[in-house]
Amino acid sequence: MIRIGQAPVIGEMIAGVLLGPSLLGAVAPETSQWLFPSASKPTLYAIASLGLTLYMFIVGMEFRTELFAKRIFAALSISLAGIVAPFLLGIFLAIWLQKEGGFFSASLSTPVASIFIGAALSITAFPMLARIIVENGLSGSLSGTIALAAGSIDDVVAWMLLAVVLGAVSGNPMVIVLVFVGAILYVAVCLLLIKPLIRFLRARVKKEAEFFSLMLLLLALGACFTDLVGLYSVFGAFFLGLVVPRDGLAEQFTAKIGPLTSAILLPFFFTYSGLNTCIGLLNSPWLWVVCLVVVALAIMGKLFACYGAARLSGIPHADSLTIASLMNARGLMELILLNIGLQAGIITPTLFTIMVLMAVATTLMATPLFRLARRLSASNC
Amino acid sequence: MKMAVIGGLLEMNTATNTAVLFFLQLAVILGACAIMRLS
Repeated sequence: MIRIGQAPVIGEMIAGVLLGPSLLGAVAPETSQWLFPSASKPTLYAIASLGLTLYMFIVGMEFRTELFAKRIFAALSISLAGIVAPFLLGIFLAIWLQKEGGFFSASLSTPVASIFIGAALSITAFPMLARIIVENGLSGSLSGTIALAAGSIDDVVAWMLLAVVLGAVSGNPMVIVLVFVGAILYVAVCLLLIKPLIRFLRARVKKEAEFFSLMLLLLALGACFTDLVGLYSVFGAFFLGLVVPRDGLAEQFTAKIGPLTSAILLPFFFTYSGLNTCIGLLNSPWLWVVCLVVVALAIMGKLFACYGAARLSGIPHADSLTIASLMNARGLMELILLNIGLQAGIITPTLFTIMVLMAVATTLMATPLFRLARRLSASNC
Repeated sequence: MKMAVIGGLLEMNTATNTAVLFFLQLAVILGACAIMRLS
């Protein structure tokens, strides 16, 4: 994947799909059943969740809040376009898919289905976007700054929308209230209590290993609380990462937990996700047409909309294309959202598979498009 | 007493099998990811 100019995450996403019923399960069903029995799924899920939590904690720590403030208006207009356009297309798609049948839970209402699809189309592979920007030395650049800020806004909004969907699916308005009250409470506790507590602990606890365990304890408590209120541990971990002081501590943690998380724990998430993905479910030309329509709408809603918004904000063509190509990738974040949707019974395995293919397609596009934009930018200079 | 010992051994065997399966899964997952990353 690296050789053909793709991000390593793409290789892992595809590896997960190949280990599931799409390839291993189809070619050697007995081996697949023996290697990944249903009874081992909870273990895989637990390890996958730990990997995601640590990963989102790192993403939070890598987030540069000062860049966010610098380009707030351009970032807001691009992120708004990256939410409104996918949302409108999501409404159309949800109505159409519900009419066709077999893509959503039978009891799901059209507005809830539309919000879920809107959230799924508007999500951005924020961690991947951040990695591409950092690896290409664009952290302080116009396009890098705006893409990071807009991507983060989009993801936060998409997760909030997912919370609304989960609340609506549960049929209890109190669930939505609990999510929002829980979110506000968590953010307030992180800013007012946890942030000073981390500084205090850092000054008091001399042994690095002890301080490190205390931080992991805070992470576990945050993940537990956010899961409990229905906000999901990925949020808890991300926000805790945001409040970690940036005076070398965040970099220290990232260096410690990053390699282990990426090398061992995240592949479990890709596999868990792949075990739920069955390309064999797309067993008719019609379903492949649906898949193509979903991919096309996903690209229209993000790539074109973000490019248009960037151009309207006065950003040059090449930089606008850079931002749009980064915003279009769905990557790992889409898989997280889809797995939650599948587990909650919102979408069927068929729509799950279609959306996973959309995530793979848009993520595959990111690096080639990004390189094209950079070449354009270099030739303009 | 004899039954308890047999029960204990069976339990240990189950735990060992679970560990073996887990490490096998770990090896397969890491192997597949490495191949896809490097290919």
